[in-house]
Amino acid sequence: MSDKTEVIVNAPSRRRWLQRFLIVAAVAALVPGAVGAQHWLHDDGSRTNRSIFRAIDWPDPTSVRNASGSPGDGYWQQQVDYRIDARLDTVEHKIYGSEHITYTNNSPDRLRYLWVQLDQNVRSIEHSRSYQMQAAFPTEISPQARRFLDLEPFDGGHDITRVQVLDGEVLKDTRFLINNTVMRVDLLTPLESGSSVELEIDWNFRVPDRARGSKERVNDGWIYQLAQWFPRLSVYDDVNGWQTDQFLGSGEFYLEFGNYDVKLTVPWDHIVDATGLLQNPEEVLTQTQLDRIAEAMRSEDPMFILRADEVLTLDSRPVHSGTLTWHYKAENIRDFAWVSSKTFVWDAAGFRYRPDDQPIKLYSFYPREAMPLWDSVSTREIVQTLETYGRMAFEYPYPKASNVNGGRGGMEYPMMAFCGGRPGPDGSLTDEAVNGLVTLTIHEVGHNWFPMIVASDERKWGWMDEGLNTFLEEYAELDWDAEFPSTDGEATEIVNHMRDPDQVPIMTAPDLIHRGGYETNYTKPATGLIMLREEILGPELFDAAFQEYSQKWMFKKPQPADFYRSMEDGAGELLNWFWRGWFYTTHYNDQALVSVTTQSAEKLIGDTERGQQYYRMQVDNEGGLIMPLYLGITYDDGSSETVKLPADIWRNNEQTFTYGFFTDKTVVQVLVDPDSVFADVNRGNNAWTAPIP
Amino acid sequence: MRVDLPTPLESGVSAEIEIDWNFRVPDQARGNKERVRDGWLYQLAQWFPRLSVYDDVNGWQTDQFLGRGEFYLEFGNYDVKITVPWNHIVDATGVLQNPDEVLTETQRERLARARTSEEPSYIISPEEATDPDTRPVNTGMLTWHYLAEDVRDFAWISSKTFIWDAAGFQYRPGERIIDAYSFYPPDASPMWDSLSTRAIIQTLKTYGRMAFEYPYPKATNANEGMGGGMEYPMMAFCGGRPNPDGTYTDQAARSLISVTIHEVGHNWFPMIVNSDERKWTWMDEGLNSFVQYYAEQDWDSNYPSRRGPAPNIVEYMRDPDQVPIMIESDLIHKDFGNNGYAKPAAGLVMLREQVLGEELFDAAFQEYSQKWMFKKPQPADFFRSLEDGAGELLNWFWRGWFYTTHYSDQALTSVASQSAEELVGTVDRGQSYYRMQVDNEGGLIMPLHLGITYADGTSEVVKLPADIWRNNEITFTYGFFTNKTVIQVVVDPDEVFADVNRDNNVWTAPIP
Repeated sequence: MSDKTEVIVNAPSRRRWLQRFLIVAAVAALVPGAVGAQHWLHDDGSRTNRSIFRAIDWPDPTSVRNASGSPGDGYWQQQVDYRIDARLDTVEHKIYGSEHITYTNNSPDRLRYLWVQLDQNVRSIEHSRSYQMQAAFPTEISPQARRFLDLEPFDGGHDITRVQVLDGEVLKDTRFLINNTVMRVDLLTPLESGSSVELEIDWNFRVPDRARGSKERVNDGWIYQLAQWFPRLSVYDDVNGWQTDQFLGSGEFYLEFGNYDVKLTVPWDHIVDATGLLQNPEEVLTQTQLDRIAEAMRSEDPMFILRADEVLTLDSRPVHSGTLTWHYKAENIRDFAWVSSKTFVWDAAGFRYRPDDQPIKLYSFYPREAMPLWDSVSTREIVQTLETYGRMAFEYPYPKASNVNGGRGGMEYPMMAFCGGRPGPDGSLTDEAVNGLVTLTIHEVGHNWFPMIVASDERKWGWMDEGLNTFLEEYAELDWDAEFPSTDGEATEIVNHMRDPDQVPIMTAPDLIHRGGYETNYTKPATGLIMLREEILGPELFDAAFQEYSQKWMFKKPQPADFYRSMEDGAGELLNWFWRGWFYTTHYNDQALVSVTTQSAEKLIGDTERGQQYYRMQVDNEGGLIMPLYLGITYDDGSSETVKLPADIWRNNEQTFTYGFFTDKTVVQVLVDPDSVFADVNRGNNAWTAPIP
Repeated sequence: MRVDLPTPLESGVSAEIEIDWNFRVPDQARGNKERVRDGWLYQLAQWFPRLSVYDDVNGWQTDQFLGRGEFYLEFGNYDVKITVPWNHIVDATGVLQNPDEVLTETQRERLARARTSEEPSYIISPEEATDPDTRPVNTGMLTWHYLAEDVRDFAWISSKTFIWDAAGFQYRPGERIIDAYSFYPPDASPMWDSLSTRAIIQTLKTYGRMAFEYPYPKATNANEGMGGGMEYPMMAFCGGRPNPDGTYTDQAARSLISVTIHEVGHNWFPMIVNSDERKWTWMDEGLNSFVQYYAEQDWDSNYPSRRGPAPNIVEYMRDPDQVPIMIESDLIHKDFGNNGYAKPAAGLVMLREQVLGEELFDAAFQEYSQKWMFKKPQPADFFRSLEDGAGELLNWFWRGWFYTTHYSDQALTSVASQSAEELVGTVDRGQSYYRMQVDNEGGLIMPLHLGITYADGTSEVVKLPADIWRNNEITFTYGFFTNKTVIQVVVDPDEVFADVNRDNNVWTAPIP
């Protein structure tokens, strides 16, 4: 219960505009031939309801996912807890692991087998379907491009050396079947609803050279970034049953929540970080480092735990031979990643949402060649992410957020981001490099919200994490610097993509997006949501709905319709037309101003009380999208206004709309979408200028 | 027929009703009478008013019976007394309760002996058929009493003309014995004597391995005059007789083996895995034809199976006037057998042997069969079960093969080679880089198999998954480095994907 009630009035001005519209429409209806037979944009001759505004055929609500887009009374998800021991072999560049899994069946179903994800198999010549899918090289390859060719595919993959299921007190062998990147483990007895089963798996794999979770040779040695490194349970849910879609490289991950207890054994001279909290700092860190961490937690300004001049020194390590085992625990996470290297510089800060809170540990790890960029940017951007995402979605619930330099691009794991980006070899720093790292850090740390906590199915829906995250990233960037040169938020950024006739809808599985994957999964959903927030719903209603969605799906697994329904439910607006157009189709927006005419008010209605002139501005929908209509009108007295009409103007005729109004002034210019907020692909037909008299 | 209840039947509560009826046994079709040399042969099926199904998908499923879309029935226990003339031999779904009253001492002794072996022996020999000594009484009527548990239907036969042979089958020594019976008029001897019961046993073995072990105590096959066959729980009716002089061809023998396996196999689908035949023919006929193929191959590894192998479905795939497998039984306007039986069987063989592999497919198919034993699956339950059990998303396969009438026509449009040195600046992986472009000229997605023959006489088959078409469904170019010279390329060299046009599947190197 709360004694504070927020009252949000749904678009107060809309009713007024609709009234005006209805008057015009009623008058128009008196004119013969004013309403054409053909009034839907996508009438396909099927003689069925083809209105863009019609309901979308979402899955029927259930007790698991209700009609409000919320987890229902009967919501359930599986719990998977891991105990893992792993060892890094820096000679063979291999990981040897052994895991003990406790799988709790919270579903109402009896399970006879479990499916386990073996993502490393995407780089196994025996198992990789993405290797097999490679089309032939083009006939010409530039010398520069040749360096990036995978002429000799990396032959890695999970080598599974033991799978056993606990039967009473005894571990027993069981049948397991590998289908490329997934493995079925048959249970000895069916797992009843509400029961748990424990199993153990031993495995090893060669750490890949490229891609997410790989090794990189820097000046001071190797950096190991370990991800998708242990056999992880597939998701069993109410929508898919077992979700076993193959890992082909683009569609990322879909995972169960659980608690982790992980011991990582590495050479004594390595620094490790991982998802979760370090349990044995006294064994693996020096007293100096422990003291510095304690001090760093007092401030949001980062300070060094391990300085550049301390890298590779004996003093930076508590022992000087053999191996060290780093012990981590993490609760309620859907994945676990770690890094290990002797090359790391380490800085840290503490972040609190409120002064009395326990500090959230913010860490950055990077090799010396990442300076001076990383030491000045990384940890500060983690802070920015926690602030902005905390305001727009929910406060960061985990105790730590790390950012680690390595590789190209970026990749996200719970409490752990991997980001590329370094200064020039000579230590030079461009604005572009700084802004690149700002964006990347916000984005990858931001993924803690989507999909690490709001745990959508990335394998099927890239936009549910990348799109929502890119949307928030935009606001974090603007919070950091109101003038930040963001590239994925403004409607104008997506116009080129909208013009591409060979794009696919946002509602397409990532591994079926043949091109424009970045635009489809990141930019288009982000720009669409900004449009929805800034122009359609308004920030207040949008934010109330978006927060609601984010918070009710924390540590749960939403589907696309849960998002759409939540936004409609929270903002009180039916948005079929918007979801259908922007998310389900590749239609673009092209509003064309076809005529501006005027008529004497006296002649039209017999009085001039509301103005001497009656203006008509006809706008045709030459694209396939429905969008609100903004008319920027300039008068001869130098005044101007922007008339904002809702998408509802297209309800009865999706092809053309004529706006009419009385005025005493003379219109000299009209501009459709004057602020370029609706990604109109053709602005050549948006303007009208009065002829010189 | 709707029967109004005096008071509404609440959830969890039972009602009891009684119905009296009579009907004329038809001359033709499933469940009829036939005049053979020695007298009438009665096969009774759809003979009693049977409850319609009330389920979660249909409510009451009352789709009219038009003759082709078969049955959808509830499970239950049956207690049936059948009164026939003294000289008739009867068999029925279930277990005979009063053998002492209706069989002779000799027959009972022979039955006890017959069950100890998989080799059939006569209970009533050809010489004994119609002999009054084979009957315990020689006047009036006899009542045969049967009990059957967990069956969805009940059929029976009655005739004075029957020869009867029997054997016993055990899945493992020391376990329960399943009775295998064959009944046929002398007109069907000697072909039936040597084949029918043995084919029942083959069915119990193969279907037992691929789906689940036969749970009923008995499996009968009874000869009928019409061609083809018909299935009921524990009771199959099969056509097929030798020539009047007793001779028969290999083809006639195989026809009897196939139809016996098929009709007895229906005990699995739909008698136990109880799909809605009125709506979905393929769910029993298709799955059954699929397993039948493997039973035939188990019988004889060179068995010329009609349904299953991909080449046998090609002609049907070419027909522009076909309908999808996913169509209600009584809306299949032609080629019922190809639509409901052959195409699903060929598709599942393809899925098992080429797409999923035998191990994953079998694990999933067994799982489906076993979890739906004595229950009523819908089409999506089958599709989902296969995906769930094999760990593979098969939208492309179900959509293409089951929901559409698209065909596969992969066309090899070019084979070209280029100097590796020129292309990538190294010959580490081979002197030449070959490109083989394949266009999808049909509407189906299928994996791509390329049979490549080299100048040195070696050859290989490159097997690429259906996923190659994810990003471009229209054309795919396969590329690889080699030091050898390719002299021939054949798309789908083993003819496993029902490519409708093989003229565009081959490339041969021009003579230099």
